[in-house]
Amino acid sequence: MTATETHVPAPVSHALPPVPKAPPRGLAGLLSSGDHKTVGRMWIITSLLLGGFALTCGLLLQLERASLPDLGVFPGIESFRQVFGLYRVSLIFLFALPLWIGLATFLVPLQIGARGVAFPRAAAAAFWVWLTGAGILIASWAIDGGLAPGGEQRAVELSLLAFAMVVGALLAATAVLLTTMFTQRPRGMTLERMPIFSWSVLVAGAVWLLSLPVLVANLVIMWVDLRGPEAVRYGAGHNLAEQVSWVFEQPQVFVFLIPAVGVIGEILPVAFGTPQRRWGVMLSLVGLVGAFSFGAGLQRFFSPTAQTTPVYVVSGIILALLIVALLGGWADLGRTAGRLPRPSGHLALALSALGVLVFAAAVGFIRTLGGAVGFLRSFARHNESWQRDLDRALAPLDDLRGTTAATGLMHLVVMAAVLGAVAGLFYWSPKIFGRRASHAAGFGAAGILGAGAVLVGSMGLVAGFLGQPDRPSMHFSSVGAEVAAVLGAIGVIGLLVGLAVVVIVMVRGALDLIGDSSTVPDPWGGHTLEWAAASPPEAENFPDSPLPAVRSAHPLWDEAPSGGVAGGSAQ
Amino acid sequence: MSAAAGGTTETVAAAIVPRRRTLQVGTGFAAAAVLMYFGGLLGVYFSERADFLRANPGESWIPPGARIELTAPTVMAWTLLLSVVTMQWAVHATARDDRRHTLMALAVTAMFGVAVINQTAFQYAQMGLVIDGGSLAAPLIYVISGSYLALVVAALVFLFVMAVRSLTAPQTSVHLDGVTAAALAWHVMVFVYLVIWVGVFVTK
Repeated sequence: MTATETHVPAPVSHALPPVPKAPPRGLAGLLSSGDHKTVGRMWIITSLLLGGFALTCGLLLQLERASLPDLGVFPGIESFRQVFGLYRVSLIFLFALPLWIGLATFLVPLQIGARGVAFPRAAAAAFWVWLTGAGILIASWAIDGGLAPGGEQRAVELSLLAFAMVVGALLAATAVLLTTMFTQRPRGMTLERMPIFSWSVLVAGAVWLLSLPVLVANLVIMWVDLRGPEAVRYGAGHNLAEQVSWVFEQPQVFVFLIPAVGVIGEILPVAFGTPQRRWGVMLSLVGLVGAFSFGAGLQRFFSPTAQTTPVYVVSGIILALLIVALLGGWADLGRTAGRLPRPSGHLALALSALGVLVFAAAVGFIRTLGGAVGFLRSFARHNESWQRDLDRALAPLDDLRGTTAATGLMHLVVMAAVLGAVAGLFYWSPKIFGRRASHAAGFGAAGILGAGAVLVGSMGLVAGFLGQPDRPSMHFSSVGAEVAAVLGAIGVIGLLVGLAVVVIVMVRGALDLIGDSSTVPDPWGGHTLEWAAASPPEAENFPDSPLPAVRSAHPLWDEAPSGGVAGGSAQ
Repeated sequence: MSAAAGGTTETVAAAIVPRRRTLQVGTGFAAAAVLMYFGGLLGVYFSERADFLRANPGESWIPPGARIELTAPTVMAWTLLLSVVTMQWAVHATARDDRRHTLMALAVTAMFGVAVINQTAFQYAQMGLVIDGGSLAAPLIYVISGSYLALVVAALVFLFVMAVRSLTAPQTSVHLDGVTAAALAWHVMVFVYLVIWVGVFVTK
């Protein structure tokens, strides 16, 4: 086009500032948003819904285990094994981990006083890629894919690619969060002054970033082998699940609950109305939990003795001790406050998460001792009586390897993580949805989810002691294991009911948010920066009000007129 | 900047002025993930090779009929080492707003990258290694070298985007963060190759 007109610019003094384009609303707003709050909410809602799918798979598995040696639910052993694989993958990579990513994407920028995440478009892209990958993953399993023998080759290839896509998207979201924490903090907000939830996301994110690429490497090796005329070893059906099993087992599985430690560490001081003492020690403990959860080097498929090595045993024992130490730190809060905490739905959920976490650590400790049998026996090699005692005491634990105890532990860890995340959703509901989540719903969800998690986890352990193999098999049958499976199924139903309560609360919150709901900025008397923002936070988080000075880990309590604690105020 | 100097009424305006080097830090995290990915691949490779040699003493890990010459991998290693120098030249020129040298340095670096892709294609044609179900080494070598090829392409794309950004800006130093981030990614890519060169090709 040729322009013939002449343009006389307006005098500078009369020039108006450009009118910012209003962001799109509705579906267009959701699809195009790079705002960390919108992206975080989408992660949260979607992962909760996919959690329902994962738990439904778990229920079918428990019902099938209850009817062994005959198959009552699935048409064949291949389907049984495929659904078992899908259950493990979806429970962690479509439910627990994305739930954490969602909560962290929403909250970390607010907690550290940033306007948003470091790469907003990358954060949004990570969500959409994950969602697409999740859809392909489920579809590929439905067309006879999955990580089990007997699958259709092209569908198995698709499953591997979709799984890698899901993990890649979660890694991208993690990298965005870590970059945000390193580059978007305001002055005064040093790493050690970050709220403990953000710190736990930093620790967990670092371990995810260093361990999950190894999982992607496993998947790519399987995929390339499968693409050849005949799978040599890695792409062979009976080897697929085994190569990725390290992600679902001790110690790696513990990395998925590290942020739960952060949520508990946020809620308890506010409930007691007193700052956490020995702050540096608590941060170090969270860091050590991350360090000792790194399990990418303990791959049973490539190193069959991995779970009997001193590294495995010592790290398992230290992990349990670290959780006991954290428990001691939180118990100290009660002693310092000298009073009981104010009851609330999020506190009940946090305590429920803590209970399941401690139980998981105890089960992990028991399994670890089983791995110690070999080298403890070598210590006692000069004394036959000691060897006999050792065998009597620890042989049953040694026999737990390869049994349903592994899945039982995974249940406990993942459900501790989910309970922690749900506690966070209730605690930060004023920020996420502009309204306080119902305390009654919180109490109900805490009870049902906690009881369900303990029932499912402990029944896995019981069936493990009875010798039921973890990998679905029709060659095992035991009345005790059948009863355990029935009780486990009841536990999963409890988990589904608890999750339904949470989904209803969250969907109601989301609907209220569409109706522009809002509440007071700080209903609990919190001490971290997110409580200085409006509820729900405006665009760019802190647009009008300057942030309080950050001189400690609890800046809002520093600003309180008494110069101390303002906690536990409103309900 | 409106932050008061101190006292109890101090506010933190620094939230409005985020720290710099965001792209470098983000690239650093991505590089860590890439290193762990290759660490995973090489860990499997070394573990499988050690198991094979323990179970089959005296036999070659590389299947019969395949040849892994050292010439092409060594030329690639030297090409990449030279590209490290030209990449740093680009960073230096960008910081001094020297558009001509920035362009030249980035172009030469990219050329080295393309040369590595070309040499990999030559190596594939030369080595006669096939995934035919008979060898554990074949799929693993192709996974490692193929992943590396993908990494080179990704680093080239990153380099291209950063080159366009900095060369279309009024001053190249405006995008120093981006060019430095691209350099970090490039150096990590070179480091990964050196490990592959020693671990897979030299000690085959």
